[in-house]
Amino acid sequence: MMEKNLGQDVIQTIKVQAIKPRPRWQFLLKDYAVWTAGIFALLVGAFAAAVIIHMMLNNDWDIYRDINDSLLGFILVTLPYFWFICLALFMGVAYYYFQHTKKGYRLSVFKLTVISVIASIFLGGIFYSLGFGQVIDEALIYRSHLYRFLLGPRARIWLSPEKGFLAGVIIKVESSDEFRLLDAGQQQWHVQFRPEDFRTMPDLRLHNMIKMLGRQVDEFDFEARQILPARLRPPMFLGDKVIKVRPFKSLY
Amino acid sequence: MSRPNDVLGKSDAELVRLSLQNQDNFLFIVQRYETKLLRYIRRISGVSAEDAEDVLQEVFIKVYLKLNDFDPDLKFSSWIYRITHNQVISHYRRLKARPVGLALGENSQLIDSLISSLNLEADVELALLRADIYKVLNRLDEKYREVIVLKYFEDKNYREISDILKKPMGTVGTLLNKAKDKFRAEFERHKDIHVQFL
Repeated sequence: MMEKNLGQDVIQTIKVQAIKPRPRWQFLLKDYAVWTAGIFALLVGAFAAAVIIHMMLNNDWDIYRDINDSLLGFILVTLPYFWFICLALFMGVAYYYFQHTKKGYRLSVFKLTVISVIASIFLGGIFYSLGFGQVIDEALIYRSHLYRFLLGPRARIWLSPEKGFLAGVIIKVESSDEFRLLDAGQQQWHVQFRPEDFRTMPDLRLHNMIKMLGRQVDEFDFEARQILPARLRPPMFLGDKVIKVRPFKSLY
Repeated sequence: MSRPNDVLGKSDAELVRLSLQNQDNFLFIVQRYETKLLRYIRRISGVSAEDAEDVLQEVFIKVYLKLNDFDPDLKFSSWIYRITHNQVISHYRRLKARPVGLALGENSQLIDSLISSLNLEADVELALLRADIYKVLNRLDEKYREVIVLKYFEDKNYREISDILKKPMGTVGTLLNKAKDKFRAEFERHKDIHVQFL
């Protein structure tokens, strides 16, 4: 009985309720939205990976003993946890959306995870090479108090003059052994050093970014015993060009 | 509307195209799948024939609404089974109940294929097995029961099951192996109880 009537019932319902197939563009729109969300998350994750690469390559490996007693301790202190969490979070979001594409279910969890990780790291490497890792890190250091003191491990370390670490931009060279420095917290410092203690003279040109080991001698006075460039390794494609983040617009 | 004889040799994808041109042609899709899908609904849910028909009608309306979403890279049968599977789940979600399981008198060939695949016949009388197989299947979790139904009762291959359940093929294989293990374990328990009562 059913076999005779069901088809007609269905057609009848379709006609009576004037049901029409949903237009193709609606389905395409949904597919594109899922792909776009996945790609967006992947790109954000890749930016996080670019910052991680930048921070790892430019970490203070050469002076790690001044920062921590052991290499492991130094790594644990300077690991960019915030960016690792960002990377994991957005890789997870990308994974979710790619799994919800039309054929995403065909890939196993393992394959999809591997693809997400490799794509994030590969794109992150490209973004790093283009200088995005440095731009993002420095822009946040100079513009976000939260990032400076909580989320960016290097900024936190290099804004500890009381512990002997200070970094910033040279804003005025006063003499051969004195200059003024603006740190990422927009605080001006008077810095002195003894040139005879340095085997090679540090590059103290205006607007150079430097980091120093030494001691805080007064509220905004610092005595440097070691002065190093703050950027050790420029991104691959940029060579020696330094990306100008303009955190000190008012001073330029 | 096309004539019934004209559509006999047409592929599912062609029928989809014809249905989009003229809604009356959708009847041929309904006719081609109603028996299979009705049986499938009853196999995975165990509802009465009337309830299964209601679910099936909703399935076909949904299929009609989504005709433009059909991807020819996929087998149409996998696509329509997937919609049916989802509709059965949403039906039960609405009722806040879970499928009660198989309630059909099955083709004994299908059951024999399941029995043989599970290597169960060695020490049990076949007739007893056939009679009890539904009880055992009904005790399995929905996910295990469904994969067994698709593989042994609907005769779907791994790719088709993967497309219907929207799970990777590897997961389907794992799920099927687990389902068989669960089935064997459940069967052993069932057999023991059975023997105790003899």
